[in-house]
Amino acid sequence: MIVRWAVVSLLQARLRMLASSLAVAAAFTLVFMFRAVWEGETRQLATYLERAGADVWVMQAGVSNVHMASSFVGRAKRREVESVEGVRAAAAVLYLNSMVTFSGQRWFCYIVGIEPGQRLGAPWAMAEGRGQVQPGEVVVPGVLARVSGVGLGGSVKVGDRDLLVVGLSEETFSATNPVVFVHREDLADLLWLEGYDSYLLVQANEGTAPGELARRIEAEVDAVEAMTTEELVESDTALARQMGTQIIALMTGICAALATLLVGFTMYVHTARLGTELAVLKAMGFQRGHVYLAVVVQSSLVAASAFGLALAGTAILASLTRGLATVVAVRLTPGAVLEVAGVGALVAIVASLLLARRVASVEPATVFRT
Amino acid sequence: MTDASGVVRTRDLVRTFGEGRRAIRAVDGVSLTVASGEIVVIMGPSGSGKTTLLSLMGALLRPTSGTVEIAGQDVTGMPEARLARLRARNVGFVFQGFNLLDALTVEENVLLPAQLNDGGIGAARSRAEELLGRLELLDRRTARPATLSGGEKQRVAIARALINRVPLVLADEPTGNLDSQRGAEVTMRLHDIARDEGCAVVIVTHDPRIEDVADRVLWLEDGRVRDRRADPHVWVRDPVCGMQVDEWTAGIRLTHAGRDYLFCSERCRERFLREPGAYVQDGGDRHRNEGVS
Ligand SMILES: Nc1ncnc2c1ncn2[C@@H]1O[C@H](COP(=O)(O)OP(=O)(O)OP(=O)(O)O)[C@@H](O)[C@H]1O
Ligand SMILES: [Mg+2]
Repeated sequence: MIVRWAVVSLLQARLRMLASSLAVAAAFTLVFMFRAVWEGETRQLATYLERAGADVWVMQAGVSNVHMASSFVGRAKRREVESVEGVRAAAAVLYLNSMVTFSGQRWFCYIVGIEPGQRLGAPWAMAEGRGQVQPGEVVVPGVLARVSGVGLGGSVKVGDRDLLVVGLSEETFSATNPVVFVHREDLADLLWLEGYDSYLLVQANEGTAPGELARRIEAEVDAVEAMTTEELVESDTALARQMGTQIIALMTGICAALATLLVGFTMYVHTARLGTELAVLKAMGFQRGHVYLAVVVQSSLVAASAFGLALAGTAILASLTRGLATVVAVRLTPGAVLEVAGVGALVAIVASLLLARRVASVEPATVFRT
Repeated sequence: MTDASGVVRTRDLVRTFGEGRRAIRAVDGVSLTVASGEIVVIMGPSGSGKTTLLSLMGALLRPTSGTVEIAGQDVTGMPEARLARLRARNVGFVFQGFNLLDALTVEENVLLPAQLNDGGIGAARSRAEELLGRLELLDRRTARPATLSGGEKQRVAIARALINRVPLVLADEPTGNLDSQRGAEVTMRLHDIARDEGCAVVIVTHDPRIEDVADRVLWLEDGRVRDRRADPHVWVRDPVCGMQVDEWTAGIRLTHAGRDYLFCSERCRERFLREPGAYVQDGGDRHRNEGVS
C-alpha cells in the first residue's frame, strides 16, 4: 500500500514528473547517442577489413593493426606467401592513414593503393563510376562526395597531387575513417617508396582454415605477421575502444551526474510537497525504512521512465540519421542499453541517498501542527 | 493494559522548547491516567500546551523529564523504531486538518495502518468494511479525499485511527475545521465506536459541546492541569451559525470594525470574512448569557 501511495502520488504530480523525466531522458539520450555513434564508427573501421575479400592478412613483423598503423613488407614477400601450401591467391595493397582534401575540407582517410584489375582489397560495391583506378585517378566514398560536393569528374587532393574522381564507392564511409582508393604507384610516389607493399591479402584454398593458414605463413615466411581477418578486426576494434573508453566514461559520468542532480532535485521538490504526508506516515508508525522505500520507488520511477524515453528518443534519432545522409554510422548495442540501464539504476539510488537525511529528519510530531 | 494502570499514564511530565531564558515549559508537570473506555476532553486557552501534551501521550514527542506509559510500556527511553511499532499497534490519531493521503482512496486510507499490524491489509478488510459502514462511508469507498466534504474526511480519519483496534485514540481539535453541526455529528460517531470497543479517547478541543460526551474534562493552563474555573462559562454567540461559544476557551477569534467576534470553527470564521456585513447586526450580535450550559 505504501508503494502504491508512492506511485500514485508521483503520478499526481504528472507534469513535474514528466518535465524532469524528459530532462533526465535528454541526458541519457546523449549517452546513448554518444555510445551509438562510437559503436557505429568502431564497427565501420572493421568494414573495410571484412569486405576486402581476404581470409588472412600478412603484415610487417610486430604490426598487428591497420587502424592508426603503418606496415611495410618487401615486394618479394608476395611470391613467398603465394607458394605457401593452402594459399589460393594473394594480392598486395599499399596503405597510408592520412589527410585527403575534398574542395577545401580535410578528411582523415584510409588511403589504399591498388592496381587495376586487382580484386582483393579493392572497392567491392560501387554507387557510380568504376572501381578500377589508373594513375592520377581516385575512388572516393559516395557519401563523402555528396557531403563535400565533389562528384565524378571532380578532383581531390592526396598529398601534393590532385586526383580525378572516377568512382563513388559504397559502404566505405565513416566520419572518422573514410576509405579512398588510389593507384599504388601514386601512393608509392607520395611515400617516396619503391619495392614495398603494406599488407598482403590472402585467400585460402577451400578446406584450409584461415587460422591454420596464418600460422603456416608465419612459420614459412620470414619477418611477417599473419592474422586472420577476424583477428585483425578484433585487434583494430580493441585499439579503437581503448582510445575511446576514457572519453566515453567521462561523457557517461557527466551525464550520469547531471541526471542524478535532476532526479534528486525533482525528488527534493516532491518530498517537500509531500512533507506532511511523510510526517503522517511516520506518526502512524511507519518506520524510516518504509518511508525511504517510498522515496526510492519514486526516484526509480523517474529514472526508469527517463530511460524508456531515452531509448525511444535514441531509436528515433538513429533511424533519422540512417534515413539521412548516413554521415555518421550509428549503432545501438545491447551492451550500451544495459550500461545506460545500469547508470539509470545508479542515478535512482544516489538521488535517493541524497534525500535520505531529509526523509529521516521528517518529525512525526509535526502532524499536529498542520 | 488493565484499567488500574490505564491505557496511557503520565508522571510528572515536562516538555520544554528552547533553552536558557527563552525556554518555554509547554507541558509542566502533568500526571494523569486515562483508563480504557474512558473519554477525556482537554481544554484550555491557546498556547497552554494541549497539543504538546497530546504529542507526548502519543509517543510522537519525547519528554524533557517525567515518564509516559502506553499500554503498560514505558516509552520514555524507547528507540525510534520501537516507538513507531508501538504507535502503529496502540495509538490512533485524528487531526484538525484530517491529514488523509491524497493519492489513496477512502478505503486505502483506512487500510493503510493495517499494513503495520499482524495479518496485514488482507486481514483488515472486513474490519475496514465494518468501520466504513458504521461511519456511513461505504458508498464513498473508492473516492479520493479531495472529493470529500470536511465531515466525510474526518469520518475517514476516524476509521483510519480505529482500523488496528488500538486501545488509545488521540484527537487534536477534530472539529476545528468543521461547522458546528458536522462537528457534533463526527464527535458522536467517535464517541459511539469508542464506547462500544472500549478504547480510550483523549480529545483536545475548544468546542464546549464536546464536553457533553466526556467522562472527564481536564483544564490545562500554562502547561499544568488546573481545577476547572469555578466561575461558569461565559457564552458568546458565533455570529455566523449562532452556536454558543465559551469566551474563555474559544480559539478562533477576529476583530472586525473594533469589535471582537468568536467563532465555533474555522469555517464560520471564513464565511464571516467573506461577507462580514451579513452577520454584523447592531448591538445584539454579541450578548452574554451567563450560566447557560
Ligand atoms: N516545536 C516547538 N518549538 C518551540 N515551541 C513550541 C513548539 N511546539 C509548541 N511550542 C510552544 O509551546 C507552547 C504550547 O504549545 P501547544 O501547541 O501545545 O499549545 P496548544 O494548547 O495546543 O495551543 P492551541 O490551542 O493554539 O493549539 C506554545 O507557547 C508554543 O509556542
Ligand atoms: Mg494545539
